[in-house]
Amino acid sequence: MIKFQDVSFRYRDTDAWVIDSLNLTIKENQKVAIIGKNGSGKSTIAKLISGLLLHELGHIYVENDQLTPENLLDIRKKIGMVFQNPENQFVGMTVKEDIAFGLENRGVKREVMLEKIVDILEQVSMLEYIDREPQHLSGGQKQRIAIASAMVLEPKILILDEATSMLDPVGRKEMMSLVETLHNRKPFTLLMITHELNEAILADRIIVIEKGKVVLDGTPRELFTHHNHALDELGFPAPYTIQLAKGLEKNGFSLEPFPLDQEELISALWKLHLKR
Amino acid sequence: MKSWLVIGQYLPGNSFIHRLDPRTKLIIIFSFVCVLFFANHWTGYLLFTTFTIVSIVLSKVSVPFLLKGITPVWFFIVLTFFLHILITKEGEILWELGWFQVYEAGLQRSIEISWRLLILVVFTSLLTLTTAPMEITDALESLLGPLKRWNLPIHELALMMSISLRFIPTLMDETERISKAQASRGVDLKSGTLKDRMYAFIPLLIPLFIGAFKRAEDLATAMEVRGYQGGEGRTKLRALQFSNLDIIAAIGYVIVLILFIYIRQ
Repeated sequence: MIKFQDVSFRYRDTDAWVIDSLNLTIKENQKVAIIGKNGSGKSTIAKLISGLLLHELGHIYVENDQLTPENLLDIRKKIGMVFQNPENQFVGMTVKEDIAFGLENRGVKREVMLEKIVDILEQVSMLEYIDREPQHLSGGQKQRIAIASAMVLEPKILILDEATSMLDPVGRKEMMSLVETLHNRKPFTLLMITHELNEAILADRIIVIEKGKVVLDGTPRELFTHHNHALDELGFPAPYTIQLAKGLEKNGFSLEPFPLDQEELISALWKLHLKR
Repeated sequence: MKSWLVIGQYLPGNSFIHRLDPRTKLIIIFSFVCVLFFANHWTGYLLFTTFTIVSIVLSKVSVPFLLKGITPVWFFIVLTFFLHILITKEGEILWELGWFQVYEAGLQRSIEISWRLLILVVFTSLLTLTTAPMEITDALESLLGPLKRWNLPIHELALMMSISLRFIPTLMDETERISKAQASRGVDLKSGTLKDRMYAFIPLLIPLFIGAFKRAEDLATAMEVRGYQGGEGRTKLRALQFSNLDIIAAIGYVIVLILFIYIRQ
């Protein structure tokens, strides 16, 4: 559970609030996408939750504990984060050492460490790369290792801070399906900070941030069926599938249920076809 | 990867020397280099030369490769040789050319000194050839560990070393990318006078530095999130372990030392 109560934040020596009395509650094990343009404050939210930046006003609760400078380190133990640049978050000389880094920091015994590393690498299907050096991995593979490094610490919350923005479309898709698989296997609260609406669709809930405030909040279905124009005006045109479905609707072919991705679109079209 | 990208000259292998604990290697080499300077008779040099040759054979490093690796040092060895010939003026004159005279003691001294230097260089490069840079870092951290009691930041230094090693390939890639980008904008890094070329490096260095700072910041954040709080209470995945091989190496080295003390008397 993550809760923001009238949280405001600004950078030192500036006047403008980056986050402006934000109220937000994210339930346990929910998959939430936070989308926004550059400079909307979406990444700042991630940094506030993990205490990398400290809020000026209001209260932040993580798993029922209020975030304060004193308990920041304990709160951070509940959070795993994956950042944008795959290269810059790789601490170890090899895959194995990189995953070990977090475990070493927590004083985990060596034998236990080795078991955990093998186990998590199996889960992200990277076991054969255990002794590879980062320069011999692709960007997508490095991000998988970044996920493994975060998940090996068994966090309650996983935050992907624009984690796919430097990957190619294939790498992106693989990464999202990996997160999906991990979530299905053992649920955790997932927070995706992104500017890709395509990825946001995978979430249970989409929160649109603009100038440090929540402007839209709902399930992907709600947003695309009722707030399509608002999304468009905020600079997030609906993905192709949804535009197509909307276009069909306008011309008298209403699809039931309203499709969000390609597969749903195909089955809705079949249903429509069979009805005639 | 380009040859100049290879940092250090580590040659992976599975020889006796490769499998020794890096701490054993560091201790032996460090003390050997000191002892080397106490040699005062040809028998001592013979003993040390034999020890060096045995070590090379045990390391399975090819001799031409080893000698190629020390090419930059040849200049100093030759320089030392001639310097000592010029300076020492004792004993009989062996050879004369105008003001240039070679004395017997001078020749002997210069051979001794340059031979000593050669052994030293060969021995230390044997360390870097058979030990991965990371192992050397771990060994230093372990050996210097007791200094932590006097608040010396040994863990931090070792971490800095290992992160630098980790990021060398990354920064090399980046250098290449930036130099290509600058070359495509007309920066010429390969011709012109030395001064011109040094100036041409500025547009390469500035983006590289800015990039490195950005990386450092990102890395620090990533480390912080994964719970890094300094060396206190940390466990280590890479564990150094002395084995029987280290005992054998230590015994061999002690025998050499005893023989040397015997010879000197």
